[in-house]
Amino acid sequence: MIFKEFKRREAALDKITNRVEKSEVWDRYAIRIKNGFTIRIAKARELEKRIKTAHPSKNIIEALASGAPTENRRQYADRKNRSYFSISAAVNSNNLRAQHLVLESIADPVDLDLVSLLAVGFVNYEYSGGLNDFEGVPDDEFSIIAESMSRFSPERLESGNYIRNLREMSGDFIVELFSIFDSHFLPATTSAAVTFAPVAERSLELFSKFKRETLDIAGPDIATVFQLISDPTARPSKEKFAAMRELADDWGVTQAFDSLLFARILGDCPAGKSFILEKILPTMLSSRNRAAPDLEILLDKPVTPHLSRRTLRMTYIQRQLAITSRLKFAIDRGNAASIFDCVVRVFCFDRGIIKFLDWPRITAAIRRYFVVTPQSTFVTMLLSRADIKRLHPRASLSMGKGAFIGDLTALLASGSGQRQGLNRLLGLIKGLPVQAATALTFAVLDRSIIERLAAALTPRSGWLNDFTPGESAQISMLRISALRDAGVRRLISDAAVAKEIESEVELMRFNYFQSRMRIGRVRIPWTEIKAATRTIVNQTAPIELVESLVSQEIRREVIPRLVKFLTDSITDHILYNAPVSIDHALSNNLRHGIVVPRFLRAFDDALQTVMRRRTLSVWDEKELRQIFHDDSEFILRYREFVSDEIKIFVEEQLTVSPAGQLDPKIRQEISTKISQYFEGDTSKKGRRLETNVAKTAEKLIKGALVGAGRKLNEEKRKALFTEFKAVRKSTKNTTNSTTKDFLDSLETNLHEALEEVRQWIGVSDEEGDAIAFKISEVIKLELLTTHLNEWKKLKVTSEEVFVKSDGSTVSKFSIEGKYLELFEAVIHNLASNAFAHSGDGLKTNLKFIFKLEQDKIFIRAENLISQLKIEDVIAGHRNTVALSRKQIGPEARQDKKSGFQKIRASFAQVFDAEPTINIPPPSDKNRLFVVEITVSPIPRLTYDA
Amino acid sequence: MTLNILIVEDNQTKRLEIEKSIKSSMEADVIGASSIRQAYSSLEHKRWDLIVLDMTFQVTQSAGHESAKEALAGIEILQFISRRQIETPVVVATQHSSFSSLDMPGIDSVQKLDDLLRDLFPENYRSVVEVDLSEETWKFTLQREIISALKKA
Repeated sequence: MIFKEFKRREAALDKITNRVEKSEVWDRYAIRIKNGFTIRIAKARELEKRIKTAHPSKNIIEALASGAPTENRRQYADRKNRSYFSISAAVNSNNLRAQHLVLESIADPVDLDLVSLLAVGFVNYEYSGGLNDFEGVPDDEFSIIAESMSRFSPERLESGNYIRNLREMSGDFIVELFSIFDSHFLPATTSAAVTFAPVAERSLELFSKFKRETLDIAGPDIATVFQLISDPTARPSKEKFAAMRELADDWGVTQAFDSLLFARILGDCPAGKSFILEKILPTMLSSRNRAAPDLEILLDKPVTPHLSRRTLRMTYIQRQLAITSRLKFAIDRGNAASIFDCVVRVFCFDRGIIKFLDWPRITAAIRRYFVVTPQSTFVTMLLSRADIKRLHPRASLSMGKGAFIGDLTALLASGSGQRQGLNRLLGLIKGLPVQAATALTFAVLDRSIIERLAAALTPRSGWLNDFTPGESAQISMLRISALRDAGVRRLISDAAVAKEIESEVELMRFNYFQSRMRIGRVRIPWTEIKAATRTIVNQTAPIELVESLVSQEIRREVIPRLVKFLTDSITDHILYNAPVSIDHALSNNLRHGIVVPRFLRAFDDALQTVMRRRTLSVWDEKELRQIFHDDSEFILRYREFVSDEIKIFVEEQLTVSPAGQLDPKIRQEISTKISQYFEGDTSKKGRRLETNVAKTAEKLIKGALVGAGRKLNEEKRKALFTEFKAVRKSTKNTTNSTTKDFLDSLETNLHEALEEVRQWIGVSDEEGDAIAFKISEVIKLELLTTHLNEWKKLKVTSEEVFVKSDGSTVSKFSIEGKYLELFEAVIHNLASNAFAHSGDGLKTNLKFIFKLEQDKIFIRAENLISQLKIEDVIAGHRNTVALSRKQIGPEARQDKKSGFQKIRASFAQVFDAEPTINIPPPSDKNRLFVVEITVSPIPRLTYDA
Repeated sequence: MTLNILIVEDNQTKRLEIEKSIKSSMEADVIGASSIRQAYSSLEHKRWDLIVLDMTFQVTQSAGHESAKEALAGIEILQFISRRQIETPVVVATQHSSFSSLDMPGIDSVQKLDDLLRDLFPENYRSVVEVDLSEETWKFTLQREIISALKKA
């Protein structure tokens, strides 16, 4: 099609070349133009092949409709799949901002200006140059420029017939079509300028960023046609319709054009109707219908297309006419049941047409019709689809997703037993035609819809918070069960069922891991604490020794001293000294890079909602001022306030110290337990001393953390929101809506942070073996915990490999669940170090490599250091190495410069072996900071592989 | 008679302030739903005398995706009750002043939101109240609008 048009133009070019006199202009430009045209033809041939590959469907409407902007953006952003017809993406984006998104993503930034110039044919009113301004551009671009100028503003071309004559390549109708652009840029003296200005503006926006690859091949003309024909606000005249159809015919896309035109006339389009009546219908209607005096009367009853005697089969366009005229008939009479039926038919005939239907009228006709059927549910589903929402926002707002849920819940019977399953609903859907049933099934089984249905079907009382991990699992089960039912009923393919179930299972697994972090994060290894207590007692004063003290006098003198000594030894060990101490656990599980960052994340997330295009939040005063103007000062100050308040809370409530409240309490209780132990009858002691001590410590720790959680929830919440109210007052008179939006988000986020941290502050009650995990899951979990809204943008990658006993390697393997905490600790500390010291913050390029062998584990973390920071890192290398080699000591429970100690302690705790940590000196050449950790021997960690 | 009032609002501070405001002016059982999803549960299982509905919600598609303010997210509840013929009056309470979005540009004032909702949901929608948590006057307006909506119901 495209190629055919180019061949036509090439022939015209040859004719012009042969006719015109050779001149200086010829020497300068003609050869370049001819060469350029040859290049474009070659590209056209390539494009045509690609279009054929990408869209095997014969129906180009289908091809156009499949150009969902998101998909298009992704494909082009990835630069992986260029077999896509760019025009369709832009044409199908129905508002300027969406077009911008598409165009920005598909055009290289450096091309934008050039593309803009090419697209509008250099008729910008400020531009007064000629072709000689474009000596440097490649031949193919040059030929487009020349062709465009010949069309738009030949007066600007230098003397010489050759280039002026290029105009003949197009023909008058194209020139007329392009006068839309001309009229926009020329002084508004013509009526065309008034009529087409809005269209021209839209089109200008469209083309100003259009991808060069599309333009230099196809040229802007056919794209304009589709832009105009699919724009419901454009009102082309009958003559324009004729010109556009002729052009469409040239490009071999008449059917697509007619199809859109028919869809369009369901709305208010008198010129279109007139054009169809006079030019198109006579060729395809039966004589009975042809006798109708005008289209309104004609479409008052369903049209009977004229059937060829030879084939007795309706063409595509005849079938479309029959269906759409039936739909119009139903809409005019407000017959909702018939409308539902017709829309389903249209969808099954060609889903590409659906979005061009007259949805405002359809919605008006069906809104007050409350009989819910699978057909009506299908139509309400369509109204919540993104493409219809974009083209008909008002119609979509009047029904949309809420009405869809309304219809679905109505379709489900009211009996509670039936409500639990979606099987019955799928049975009703099965009654629809296949294409509609499949589309509706996919829509119903979308997770967001299942979540809503599950909520609607579950009675609740009291305050309703967002769903819990348990509910999430129930929703997953409901969805998986419904997917299976849909597969059994052949509503969707087995492959689709398998794919969806796989993703749901992944989600369940992830929710499982996440729920581990949700409630009671402080994990204290009580078994090891008990063992350590037993060792201390046995080494210091075994019960046999105490019992051997016969004299009461000696007992009175010795036992209190023993009790005091043991109490101090055990308490210090439990609270501070052991690598598994309680303060160590608090530091690992709450203090070190966890609680304060969670509150700061509330600010980052709020910032993200008001600056969606930014990649990462930066709390830089200058940058913030650009966004919040004078309010930035209040916002920054409030962020510091929150940070300080939470730091104080962490220091006071989440740290154990001899001067604090917990230390003397535990000391006292342990002392009592030991005294009782020594004083009592050993044969009737019941629980052993170490168990008593551990239980006592556990009870007190739990109590202390409950108290800390309460303090956070009450005192800190009050302090944070009193100050927040003050910030609101300070920014009350702002005219900047961004500030308001930001504060609104921030308030919600701070409540969430308070609630989440309150839940974290508690002792983990996990018992039994955890399920196996993949290392990538732990990395995701770690990044999600601290950088939820950013984690997809973080530049963190990983490689995992397991070396089998025969030397072969696999990359997919799971690790036993009991090692989850070890991997969490290692990844958390390595990532925190990288983010904190690279100089790039969350933008750090970080790569993990995990290599597991039969009895050895090797971990490598490498990250780039910023240019500004590299000298400091090189200078501090010796200190860093010293820190990494330091044996485990009290530093392990510090919250600063303790990452390596924490890693060492974690390995020591799990394997009873300390790792070797190697940090090669960084250089300012590669600016790479590398940490290599090796631990051996270790038991086998993996399940499979 | 005790009234049953549902507040659909994701901002906890605002939800509590609205609840306090309602309880200070009338005898009412007030239940709050923190998300659109949770509102469905209440709507399906209980008859409400009035709904106080936020319009702009913070939504995250799934873990790791950007949070975003969806300017007209609350409209989903109006669509639902309208479609299900639930005859409960709705008062919209919002802290925002613009509701324009990529799909629906031009709703750049509370007045335009009011016009839109009045046009689309005449059976349920009553009025919109601008909430300003830095002061108290909005509470009187809310109380007045609630009483007016209940009278008309």
